[in-house]
Amino acid sequence: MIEALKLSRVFPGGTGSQDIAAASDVSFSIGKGAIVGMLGPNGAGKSTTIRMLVTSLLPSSGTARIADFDILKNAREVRERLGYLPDQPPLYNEMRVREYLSFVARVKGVHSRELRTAVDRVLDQCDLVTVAGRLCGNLSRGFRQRVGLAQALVHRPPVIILDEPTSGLDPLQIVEMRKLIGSLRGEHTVLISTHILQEVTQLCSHVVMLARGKVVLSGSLDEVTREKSIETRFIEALDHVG
Amino acid sequence: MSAKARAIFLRELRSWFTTPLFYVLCSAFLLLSAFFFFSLILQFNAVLQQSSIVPETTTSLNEWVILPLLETLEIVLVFLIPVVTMRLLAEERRTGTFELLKTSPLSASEIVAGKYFALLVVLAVTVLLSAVFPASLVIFSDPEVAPILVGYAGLLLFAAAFGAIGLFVSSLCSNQTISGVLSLVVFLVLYLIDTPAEKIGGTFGRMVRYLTPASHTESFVRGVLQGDDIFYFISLIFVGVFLAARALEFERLR
Ligand SMILES: Nc1ncnc2c1ncn2[C@@H]1O[C@H](COP(=O)(O)OP(=O)(O)O)[C@@H](O)[C@H]1O
Ligand SMILES: [Mg+2]
Repeated sequence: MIEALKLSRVFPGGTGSQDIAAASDVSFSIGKGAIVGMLGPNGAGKSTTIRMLVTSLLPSSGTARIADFDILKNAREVRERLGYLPDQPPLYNEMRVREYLSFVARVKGVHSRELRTAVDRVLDQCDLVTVAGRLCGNLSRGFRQRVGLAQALVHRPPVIILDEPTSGLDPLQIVEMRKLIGSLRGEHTVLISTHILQEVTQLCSHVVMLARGKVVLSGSLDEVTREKSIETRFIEALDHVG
Repeated sequence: MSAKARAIFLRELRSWFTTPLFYVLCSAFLLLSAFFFFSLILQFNAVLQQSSIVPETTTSLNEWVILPLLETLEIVLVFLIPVVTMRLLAEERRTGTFELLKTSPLSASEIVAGKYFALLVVLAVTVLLSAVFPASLVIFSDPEVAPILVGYAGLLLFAAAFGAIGLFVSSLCSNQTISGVLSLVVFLVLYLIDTPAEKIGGTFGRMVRYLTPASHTESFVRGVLQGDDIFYFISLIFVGVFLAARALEFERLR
Protein backbone atom coordinates (compact mmCIF):
# COMPACT_ATOMS: atom_id res chain seq x y z
CA MET A 1 0.00 0.00 0.00
CA ILE A 2 2.91 2.34 0.73
CA GLU A 3 6.06 1.81 -1.28
CA ALA A 4 8.98 4.23 -1.11
CA LEU A 5 11.41 3.85 -4.01
CA LYS A 6 14.75 5.53 -3.30
CA LEU A 7 13.16 8.74 -2.06
CA SER A 8 15.78 11.46 -1.66
CA ARG A 9 15.56 15.10 -0.81
CA VAL A 10 18.32 17.66 -0.61
CA PHE A 11 17.77 21.08 0.97
CA PRO A 12 20.10 23.87 0.01
CA GLY A 13 22.25 24.81 3.01
CA GLY A 14 22.73 28.48 3.85
CA THR A 15 25.40 30.50 2.09
CA GLY A 16 28.74 28.75 2.41
CA SER A 17 27.39 25.73 4.26
CA GLN A 18 26.86 22.32 2.73
CA ASP A 19 23.56 21.14 1.30
CA ILE A 20 21.51 19.04 3.68
CA ALA A 21 20.58 15.55 2.51
CA ALA A 22 17.45 15.26 4.63
CA ALA A 23 16.55 11.92 3.03
CA SER A 24 18.81 9.69 0.93
CA ASP A 25 17.53 6.68 -1.00
CA VAL A 26 14.77 5.89 1.45
CA SER A 27 13.10 2.65 0.34
CA PHE A 28 10.60 0.48 2.12
CA SER A 29 7.40 -1.32 1.40
CA ILE A 30 4.32 -1.60 3.59
CA GLY A 31 1.56 -4.13 3.03
CA LYS A 32 -2.16 -3.58 3.38
CA GLY A 33 -3.55 -3.30 6.91
CA ALA A 34 -0.21 -2.94 8.68
CA ILE A 35 0.69 -0.33 11.26
CA VAL A 36 4.23 0.76 10.64
CA GLY A 37 6.40 2.84 12.89
CA MET A 38 8.98 5.11 11.30
CA LEU A 39 11.49 5.41 14.09
CA GLY A 40 14.33 7.88 14.28
CA PRO A 41 15.89 10.59 16.42
CA ASN A 42 15.02 14.25 15.84
CA GLY A 43 16.33 15.47 12.52
CA ALA A 44 16.56 11.95 11.08
CA GLY A 45 14.42 12.91 8.09
CA LYS A 46 11.08 11.48 9.18
CA SER A 47 9.01 14.57 8.39
CA THR A 48 10.86 15.09 5.12
CA THR A 49 10.16 11.52 4.00
CA ILE A 50 6.54 11.79 5.06
CA ARG A 51 6.05 15.09 3.27
CA MET A 52 7.32 13.51 0.08
CA LEU A 53 4.95 10.55 0.51
CA VAL A 54 1.92 12.79 1.01
CA THR A 55 2.72 14.87 -2.12
CA SER A 56 3.52 18.00 -0.15
CA LEU A 57 7.20 18.07 -1.04
CA LEU A 58 8.74 17.06 -4.33
CA PRO A 59 11.58 14.51 -4.03
CA SER A 60 14.97 15.49 -5.43
CA SER A 61 15.05 11.97 -6.83
CA GLY A 62 13.18 8.72 -6.42
CA THR A 63 9.46 8.26 -6.09
CA ALA A 64 6.84 6.35 -4.15
CA ARG A 65 3.58 4.55 -4.69
CA ILE A 66 0.56 4.95 -2.44
CA ALA A 67 -2.36 2.58 -2.96
CA ASP A 68 -0.71 1.69 -6.29
CA PHE A 69 -0.59 5.28 -7.55
CA ASP A 70 2.63 7.11 -8.24
CA ILE A 71 3.08 10.23 -6.08
CA LEU A 72 4.56 12.16 -8.99
CA LYS A 73 2.41 11.05 -11.92
CA ASN A 74 -0.90 10.55 -10.11
CA ALA A 75 -0.75 13.03 -7.24
CA ARG A 76 -4.49 13.62 -7.30
CA GLU A 77 -5.38 9.93 -7.00
CA VAL A 78 -2.86 9.63 -4.16
CA ARG A 79 -4.41 12.59 -2.36
CA GLU A 80 -7.88 11.10 -2.63
CA ARG A 81 -6.71 7.94 -0.87
CA LEU A 82 -4.68 9.53 1.84
CA GLY A 83 -5.28 10.83 5.34
CA TYR A 84 -2.44 12.94 6.71
CA LEU A 85 -1.74 14.51 10.07
CA PRO A 86 1.24 16.90 9.79
CA ASP A 87 3.48 17.51 12.81
CA GLN A 88 1.34 20.58 13.58
CA PRO A 89 -2.39 19.75 13.41
CA PRO A 90 -3.70 21.89 10.51
CA LEU A 91 -6.65 23.50 12.29
CA TYR A 92 -8.45 26.74 11.47
CA ASN A 93 -8.64 28.33 14.89
CA GLU A 94 -11.70 30.43 14.15
CA MET A 95 -13.78 27.38 13.17
CA ARG A 96 -15.82 25.10 15.39
CA VAL A 97 -14.74 21.44 15.46
CA ARG A 98 -17.81 20.13 13.63
CA GLU A 99 -17.63 22.89 11.01
CA TYR A 100 -13.96 22.23 10.50
CA LEU A 101 -14.44 18.52 9.99
CA SER A 102 -17.22 19.05 7.46
CA PHE A 103 -15.02 21.53 5.64
CA VAL A 104 -12.22 18.96 5.41
CA ALA A 105 -14.71 16.28 4.33
CA ARG A 106 -15.95 18.51 1.51
CA VAL A 107 -12.45 19.34 0.36
CA LYS A 108 -11.54 15.65 0.37
CA GLY A 109 -14.49 14.97 -1.88
CA VAL A 110 -17.03 13.42 0.51
CA HIS A 111 -20.47 13.70 -1.08
CA SER A 112 -22.69 16.31 0.57
CA ARG A 113 -25.33 13.66 1.35
CA GLU A 114 -22.81 11.63 3.34
CA LEU A 115 -21.21 14.63 5.02
CA ARG A 116 -23.14 14.48 8.25
CA THR A 117 -22.68 10.78 8.83
CA ALA A 118 -18.98 11.05 7.99
CA VAL A 119 -18.46 13.85 10.50
CA ASP A 120 -20.54 12.18 13.19
CA ARG A 121 -18.59 8.97 12.68
CA VAL A 122 -15.17 10.56 13.26
CA LEU A 123 -16.44 12.73 16.12
CA ASP A 124 -17.51 9.52 17.81
CA GLN A 125 -14.43 7.53 16.77
CA CYS A 126 -12.00 10.15 18.11
CA ASP A 127 -14.09 10.89 21.19
CA LEU A 128 -14.76 14.49 20.22
CA VAL A 129 -18.52 14.61 20.69
CA THR A 130 -18.20 16.80 23.79
CA VAL A 131 -16.11 19.43 21.99
CA ALA A 132 -17.94 19.36 18.63
CA GLY A 133 -19.24 22.90 19.19
CA ARG A 134 -16.01 24.41 20.54
CA LEU A 135 -13.68 26.67 18.58
CA CYS A 136 -10.54 24.85 17.42
CA GLY A 137 -8.45 27.74 18.72
CA ASN A 138 -9.63 27.13 22.28
CA LEU A 139 -8.82 23.42 22.43
CA SER A 140 -6.07 21.87 24.55
CA ARG A 141 -3.12 20.24 22.83
CA GLY A 142 -4.61 16.75 23.34
CA PHE A 143 -7.91 17.69 21.72
CA ARG A 144 -6.20 19.55 18.89
CA GLN A 145 -4.22 16.44 18.07
CA ARG A 146 -7.40 14.34 18.13
CA VAL A 147 -9.21 16.76 15.83
CA GLY A 148 -6.15 16.50 13.60
CA LEU A 149 -6.53 12.73 13.55
CA ALA A 150 -10.28 12.98 12.93
CA GLN A 151 -9.51 15.23 9.98
CA ALA A 152 -7.24 12.53 8.54
CA LEU A 153 -9.96 9.87 8.90
CA VAL A 154 -13.06 11.73 7.79
CA HIS A 155 -13.05 10.53 4.18
CA ARG A 156 -12.16 6.93 5.16
CA PRO A 157 -8.88 6.85 3.28
CA PRO A 158 -7.20 3.46 2.85
CA VAL A 159 -3.81 4.95 3.79
CA ILE A 160 -3.19 7.06 6.87
CA ILE A 161 0.08 8.84 7.59
CA LEU A 162 0.62 10.50 10.97
CA ASP A 163 3.69 12.62 11.75
CA GLU A 164 4.57 12.25 15.45
CA PRO A 165 0.95 11.93 16.54
CA THR A 166 1.82 11.73 20.25
CA SER A 167 4.41 14.50 20.50
CA GLY A 168 3.55 17.23 22.98
CA LEU A 169 0.85 15.19 24.71
CA ASP A 170 0.74 14.36 28.42
CA PRO A 171 1.06 10.67 29.47
CA LEU A 172 -2.68 10.07 29.69
CA GLN A 173 -3.31 11.67 26.32
CA ILE A 174 -0.52 9.56 24.84
CA VAL A 175 -2.20 6.38 26.06
CA GLU A 176 -5.53 7.49 24.55
CA MET A 177 -3.96 8.49 21.25
CA ARG A 178 -2.15 5.16 20.97
CA LYS A 179 -5.37 3.30 21.67
CA LEU A 180 -7.08 5.32 18.95
CA ILE A 181 -4.36 4.60 16.41
CA GLY A 182 -4.38 0.92 17.38
CA SER A 183 -8.10 0.81 16.60
CA LEU A 184 -7.34 1.67 12.97
CA ARG A 185 -5.54 -1.65 12.51
CA GLY A 186 -6.92 -3.80 9.72
CA GLU A 187 -9.23 -1.32 8.02
CA HIS A 188 -6.46 1.15 7.18
CA THR A 189 -2.79 0.97 6.37
CA VAL A 190 -1.10 3.26 8.88
CA LEU A 191 2.33 4.87 8.94
CA ILE A 192 3.31 6.80 12.05
CA SER A 193 6.59 8.52 12.77
CA THR A 194 7.99 8.65 16.27
CA HIS A 195 11.17 8.92 18.25
CA ILE A 196 9.79 6.80 21.07
CA LEU A 197 10.77 3.13 21.04
CA GLN A 198 7.87 1.88 23.16
CA GLU A 199 5.42 3.41 20.75
CA VAL A 200 6.67 1.08 18.06
CA THR A 201 6.69 -2.02 20.24
CA GLN A 202 3.21 -1.30 21.57
CA LEU A 203 1.52 -0.30 18.39
CA CYS A 204 3.29 -1.40 15.27
CA SER A 205 3.64 -4.59 13.31
CA HIS A 206 6.53 -3.25 11.26
CA VAL A 207 9.33 -0.78 11.78
CA VAL A 208 11.45 1.42 9.52
CA MET A 209 14.40 2.99 11.31
CA LEU A 210 15.81 6.22 9.94
CA ALA A 211 19.03 7.95 10.91
CA ARG A 212 20.66 10.85 9.10
CA GLY A 213 18.23 10.51 6.25
CA LYS A 214 18.95 6.84 5.61
CA VAL A 215 17.02 3.68 6.34
CA VAL A 216 19.22 1.76 8.77
CA LEU A 217 16.88 -1.09 9.57
CA SER A 218 13.46 -2.24 8.46
CA GLY A 219 11.22 -5.24 8.72
CA SER A 220 8.50 -6.78 10.80
CA LEU A 221 8.82 -6.21 14.51
CA ASP A 222 9.20 -9.96 15.14
CA GLU A 223 12.10 -10.21 12.71
CA VAL A 224 13.84 -7.15 14.03
CA THR A 225 13.51 -8.16 17.68
CA ARG A 226 14.13 -11.89 17.25
CA GLU A 227 17.73 -11.87 18.47
CA LYS A 228 18.15 -8.56 20.19
CA SER A 229 15.84 -6.08 21.84
CA ILE A 230 14.69 -3.11 19.80
CA GLU A 231 16.71 -0.77 22.04
CA THR A 232 19.92 -2.62 21.23
CA ARG A 233 19.06 -2.70 17.55
CA PHE A 234 18.35 1.01 17.55
CA ILE A 235 21.57 1.93 19.31
CA GLU A 236 23.62 -0.34 17.05
CA ALA A 237 22.02 1.22 14.01
CA LEU A 238 22.77 4.73 15.28
CA ASP A 239 26.37 3.79 16.03
CA HIS A 240 26.69 2.35 12.58
CA VAL A 241 25.89 5.65 10.81
CA GLY A 242 28.07 7.55 13.30
CA MET B 1 -17.75 27.00 -8.90
CA SER B 2 -17.03 23.39 -8.09
CA ALA B 3 -18.18 21.98 -4.74
CA LYS B 4 -14.61 22.08 -3.43
CA ALA B 5 -14.01 25.66 -4.52
CA ARG B 6 -17.31 26.54 -2.86
CA ALA B 7 -16.14 24.88 0.35
CA ILE B 8 -13.00 27.04 0.30
CA PHE B 9 -15.08 30.12 -0.50
CA LEU B 10 -17.51 29.56 2.38
CA ARG B 11 -14.74 28.77 4.84
CA GLU B 12 -12.86 31.87 3.85
CA LEU B 13 -15.96 34.04 4.08
CA ARG B 14 -16.84 32.64 7.49
CA SER B 15 -13.32 33.29 8.69
CA TRP B 16 -13.55 36.92 7.47
CA PHE B 17 -16.82 37.55 9.23
CA THR B 18 -15.80 35.90 12.49
CA THR B 19 -12.47 37.63 12.94
CA PRO B 20 -12.04 41.26 14.00
CA LEU B 21 -9.84 42.30 11.07
CA PHE B 22 -12.79 42.66 8.70
CA TYR B 23 -14.71 44.89 11.11
CA VAL B 24 -11.66 47.02 11.82
CA LEU B 25 -11.10 47.48 8.09
CA CYS B 26 -14.70 48.35 7.37
CA SER B 27 -14.79 50.87 10.20
CA ALA B 28 -11.50 52.41 9.09
CA PHE B 29 -12.73 52.76 5.52
CA LEU B 30 -16.05 54.23 6.65
CA LEU B 31 -14.36 56.65 9.02
CA LEU B 32 -11.98 57.88 6.33
CA SER B 33 -14.81 58.17 3.82
CA ALA B 34 -16.83 60.18 6.31
CA PHE B 35 -13.92 62.48 7.00
CA PHE B 36 -13.23 63.18 3.33
CA PHE B 37 -16.91 63.45 2.51
CA PHE B 38 -17.63 66.07 5.14
CA SER B 39 -14.50 68.09 4.34
CA LEU B 40 -15.58 68.14 0.71
CA ILE B 41 -19.09 69.22 1.66
CA LEU B 42 -17.67 72.10 3.73
CA GLN B 43 -15.47 73.09 0.83
CA PHE B 44 -18.46 72.96 -1.50
CA ASN B 45 -20.39 75.21 0.85
CA ALA B 46 -17.65 77.82 0.66
CA VAL B 47 -17.69 77.56 -3.13
CA LEU B 48 -21.45 78.08 -3.17
CA GLN B 49 -21.06 81.28 -1.16
CA GLN B 50 -18.33 82.53 -3.50
CA SER B 51 -20.30 81.68 -6.60
CA SER B 52 -22.83 84.36 -5.77
CA ILE B 53 -19.92 86.80 -6.22
CA VAL B 54 -18.05 85.05 -9.07
CA PRO B 55 -20.81 83.77 -11.34
CA GLU B 56 -18.66 81.60 -13.69
CA THR B 57 -17.66 78.92 -11.13
CA THR B 58 -19.57 75.69 -11.50
CA THR B 59 -21.65 74.64 -8.56
CA SER B 60 -22.05 71.03 -9.57
CA LEU B 61 -22.24 68.74 -6.59
CA ASN B 62 -20.84 65.91 -8.70
CA GLU B 63 -17.78 67.88 -9.64
CA TRP B 64 -17.03 69.32 -6.21
CA VAL B 65 -17.90 66.36 -3.97
CA ILE B 66 -18.40 63.05 -5.78
CA LEU B 67 -15.42 63.25 -8.12
CA PRO B 68 -12.79 64.16 -5.49
CA LEU B 69 -14.36 61.69 -3.04
CA LEU B 70 -13.97 58.83 -5.50
CA GLU B 71 -10.40 59.87 -6.26
CA THR B 72 -9.55 59.94 -2.58
CA LEU B 73 -11.21 56.59 -1.86
CA GLU B 74 -9.11 55.08 -4.63
CA ILE B 75 -5.97 56.15 -2.80
CA VAL B 76 -7.35 54.89 0.51
CA LEU B 77 -7.94 51.52 -1.19
CA VAL B 78 -4.34 51.42 -2.39
CA PHE B 79 -3.29 51.41 1.25
CA LEU B 80 -6.11 49.28 2.57
CA ILE B 81 -6.15 46.38 0.10
CA PRO B 82 -2.67 45.11 1.08
CA VAL B 83 -3.96 44.71 4.63
CA VAL B 84 -6.85 42.64 3.28
CA THR B 85 -4.81 40.47 0.92
CA MET B 86 -1.60 40.01 2.90
CA ARG B 87 -2.92 37.16 5.01
CA LEU B 88 -4.79 35.27 2.29
CA LEU B 89 -2.18 32.56 1.78
CA ALA B 90 0.66 33.69 4.02
CA GLU B 91 -1.45 33.02 7.11
CA GLU B 92 -2.31 29.48 5.99
CA ARG B 93 1.38 28.79 5.51
CA ARG B 94 2.15 30.02 9.01
CA THR B 95 -0.54 28.01 10.81
CA GLY B 96 0.11 24.87 8.75
CA THR B 97 -3.37 24.65 7.25
CA PHE B 98 -1.84 25.10 3.84
CA GLU B 99 -0.29 21.66 4.27
CA LEU B 100 -3.86 20.34 4.48
CA LEU B 101 -4.97 22.11 1.30
CA LYS B 102 -1.82 21.05 -0.53
CA THR B 103 -2.33 17.37 0.23
CA SER B 104 -6.06 17.37 -0.56
CA PRO B 105 -7.47 16.45 -3.95
CA LEU B 106 -7.90 20.11 -4.86
CA SER B 107 -6.56 21.97 -7.85
CA ALA B 108 -4.65 25.21 -7.37
CA SER B 109 -7.39 26.96 -9.34
CA GLU B 110 -10.04 25.74 -6.92
CA ILE B 111 -8.10 27.14 -3.96
CA VAL B 112 -7.48 30.45 -5.70
CA ALA B 113 -11.05 30.77 -7.00
CA GLY B 114 -12.56 30.12 -3.57
CA LYS B 115 -10.24 32.65 -1.96
CA TYR B 116 -10.67 35.27 -4.63
CA PHE B 117 -14.47 35.20 -4.58
CA ALA B 118 -14.47 35.57 -0.80
CA LEU B 119 -12.06 38.48 -1.16
CA LEU B 120 -14.42 40.08 -3.69
CA VAL B 121 -17.30 39.86 -1.22
CA VAL B 122 -15.20 41.46 1.52
CA LEU B 123 -14.00 44.27 -0.73
CA ALA B 124 -17.47 44.88 -2.18
CA VAL B 125 -19.05 45.12 1.28
CA THR B 126 -16.33 47.55 2.41
CA VAL B 127 -16.57 49.76 -0.67
CA LEU B 128 -20.36 49.75 -0.83
CA LEU B 129 -20.73 50.72 2.83
CA SER B 130 -19.04 54.01 1.99
CA ALA B 131 -21.79 54.63 -0.54
CA VAL B 132 -24.05 55.84 2.27
CA PHE B 133 -22.45 59.26 1.93
CA PRO B 134 -23.15 59.86 -1.75
CA ALA B 135 -26.54 58.22 -1.17
CA SER B 136 -27.31 60.80 1.49
CA LEU B 137 -26.61 63.48 -1.10
CA VAL B 138 -29.18 61.92 -3.38
CA ILE B 139 -31.71 62.07 -0.58
CA PHE B 140 -30.96 65.57 0.68
CA SER B 141 -29.81 67.29 -2.50
CA ASP B 142 -29.87 66.77 -6.26
CA PRO B 143 -26.63 65.38 -7.66
CA GLU B 144 -26.71 63.41 -10.92
CA VAL B 145 -27.23 59.79 -9.90
CA ALA B 146 -25.87 57.98 -12.96
CA PRO B 147 -22.25 59.24 -12.56
CA ILE B 148 -22.30 58.18 -8.91
CA LEU B 149 -23.35 54.65 -9.90
CA VAL B 150 -20.72 54.51 -12.62
CA GLY B 151 -18.10 55.88 -10.23
CA TYR B 152 -18.84 53.18 -7.69
CA ALA B 153 -18.84 50.47 -10.34
CA GLY B 154 -15.40 51.72 -11.33
CA LEU B 155 -14.24 51.77 -7.73
CA LEU B 156 -15.38 48.15 -7.34
CA LEU B 157 -13.50 47.14 -10.49
CA PHE B 158 -10.43 48.93 -9.20
CA ALA B 159 -10.66 47.10 -5.85
CA ALA B 160 -11.21 43.76 -7.59
CA ALA B 161 -8.14 44.27 -9.78
CA PHE B 162 -5.82 45.32 -6.95
CA GLY B 163 -7.27 42.49 -4.87
CA ALA B 164 -6.20 40.00 -7.55
CA ILE B 165 -2.67 41.40 -7.57
CA GLY B 166 -2.57 41.29 -3.77
CA LEU B 167 -3.69 37.66 -3.88
CA PHE B 168 -0.84 36.86 -6.24
CA VAL B 169 1.72 38.56 -4.00
CA SER B 170 0.34 36.70 -0.98
CA SER B 171 0.64 33.41 -2.85
CA LEU B 172 4.40 34.00 -3.06
CA CYS B 173 4.97 34.87 0.59
CA SER B 174 5.03 32.86 3.79
CA ASN B 175 5.23 35.97 5.94
CA GLN B 176 2.19 38.22 6.27
CA THR B 177 4.11 41.41 6.88
CA ILE B 178 6.37 40.90 3.90
CA SER B 179 3.36 40.05 1.78
CA GLY B 180 1.62 43.26 2.88
CA VAL B 181 4.60 45.54 2.35
CA LEU B 182 5.35 43.98 -1.03
CA SER B 183 1.76 44.44 -2.21
CA LEU B 184 1.79 48.05 -1.06
CA VAL B 185 5.01 48.71 -2.97
CA VAL B 186 3.62 47.08 -6.12
CA PHE B 187 0.39 49.08 -5.80
CA LEU B 188 2.18 52.37 -5.25
CA VAL B 189 4.51 51.81 -8.17
CA LEU B 190 1.58 50.90 -10.41
CA TYR B 191 -0.38 53.86 -9.17
CA LEU B 192 2.31 56.51 -9.15
CA ILE B 193 4.11 55.66 -12.38
CA ASP B 194 1.36 57.57 -14.12
CA THR B 195 2.84 61.03 -13.60
CA PRO B 196 6.40 60.31 -14.83
CA ALA B 197 4.95 58.37 -17.77
CA GLU B 198 2.95 61.41 -18.73
CA LYS B 199 6.13 63.52 -18.59
CA ILE B 200 8.12 61.10 -20.79
CA GLY B 201 5.46 61.25 -23.45
CA GLY B 202 5.91 59.55 -26.80
CA THR B 203 4.89 56.00 -27.60
CA PHE B 204 6.78 54.55 -24.64
CA GLY B 205 5.19 57.00 -22.25
CA ARG B 206 1.77 56.21 -23.64
CA MET B 207 2.41 52.48 -23.28
CA VAL B 208 3.48 52.77 -19.66
CA ARG B 209 0.58 55.07 -19.04
CA TYR B 210 -1.83 52.54 -20.47
CA LEU B 211 -0.58 50.01 -17.93
CA THR B 212 -1.22 52.15 -14.87
CA PRO B 213 -4.63 51.93 -13.27
CA ALA B 214 -4.64 55.68 -12.65
CA SER B 215 -5.09 56.39 -16.34
CA HIS B 216 -8.11 54.08 -16.37
CA THR B 217 -9.87 55.55 -13.40
CA GLU B 218 -9.85 59.10 -14.78
CA SER B 219 -13.00 58.67 -16.79
CA PHE B 220 -15.03 56.60 -14.40
CA VAL B 221 -14.68 59.07 -11.54
CA ARG B 222 -16.27 61.52 -14.01
CA GLY B 223 -19.11 59.11 -14.53
CA VAL B 224 -17.98 57.66 -17.84
CA LEU B 225 -17.39 53.92 -17.98
CA GLN B 226 -15.39 53.07 -21.12
CA GLY B 227 -15.05 49.60 -22.60
CA ASP B 228 -11.31 50.12 -22.75
CA ASP B 229 -11.07 50.74 -19.00
CA ILE B 230 -13.34 47.81 -18.15
CA PHE B 231 -11.19 45.57 -20.35
CA TYR B 232 -8.06 46.82 -18.58
CA PHE B 233 -9.34 45.99 -15.09
CA ILE B 234 -10.78 42.62 -16.10
CA SER B 235 -7.40 41.72 -17.66
CA LEU B 236 -5.64 42.73 -14.46
CA ILE B 237 -8.00 40.46 -12.51
CA PHE B 238 -7.29 37.51 -14.81
CA VAL B 239 -3.55 38.05 -14.73
CA GLY B 240 -3.50 38.26 -10.91
CA VAL B 241 -5.67 35.20 -10.40
CA PHE B 242 -3.86 33.18 -13.07
CA LEU B 243 -0.43 33.97 -11.62
CA ALA B 244 -1.64 33.15 -8.11
CA ALA B 245 -2.81 29.72 -9.29
CA ARG B 246 0.51 29.10 -11.08
CA ALA B 247 2.42 30.13 -7.96
CA LEU B 248 0.52 27.55 -5.91
CA GLU B 249 1.20 24.81 -8.44
CA PHE B 250 4.86 25.68 -8.28
CA GLU B 251 4.78 25.45 -4.49
CA ARG B 252 5.38 21.71 -4.40
CA LEU B 253 8.85 22.29 -5.83
CA ARG B 254 10.07 24.04 -2.70
N1 LIG C 1 12.51 23.19 4.55
C1 LIG C 1 13.75 22.84 4.97
N2 LIG C 1 14.82 23.57 4.60
C2 LIG C 1 16.06 23.21 5.00
N3 LIG C 1 16.34 22.16 5.77
C3 LIG C 1 15.32 21.38 6.18
C4 LIG C 1 13.97 21.69 5.80
N4 LIG C 1 13.16 20.74 6.35
C5 LIG C 1 13.97 19.90 7.03
N5 LIG C 1 15.27 20.27 6.94
C6 LIG C 1 16.42 19.58 7.54
O1 LIG C 1 16.35 18.22 7.18
C7 LIG C 1 16.71 17.40 8.27
C8 LIG C 1 15.61 16.41 8.58
O2 LIG C 1 14.50 17.09 9.12
P1 LIG C 1 13.12 16.39 9.44
O3 LIG C 1 12.70 15.59 8.26
O4 LIG C 1 12.19 17.43 9.90
O5 LIG C 1 13.49 15.41 10.64
P2 LIG C 1 12.56 14.69 11.71
O6 LIG C 1 11.14 14.88 11.31
O7 LIG C 1 13.01 13.27 11.67
O8 LIG C 1 12.85 15.30 13.04
C9 LIG C 1 17.05 18.32 9.43
O9 LIG C 1 18.44 18.49 9.45
C10 LIG C 1 16.36 19.60 9.04
O10 LIG C 1 17.07 20.70 9.56
MG1 LIG D 1 9.54 15.85 12.34
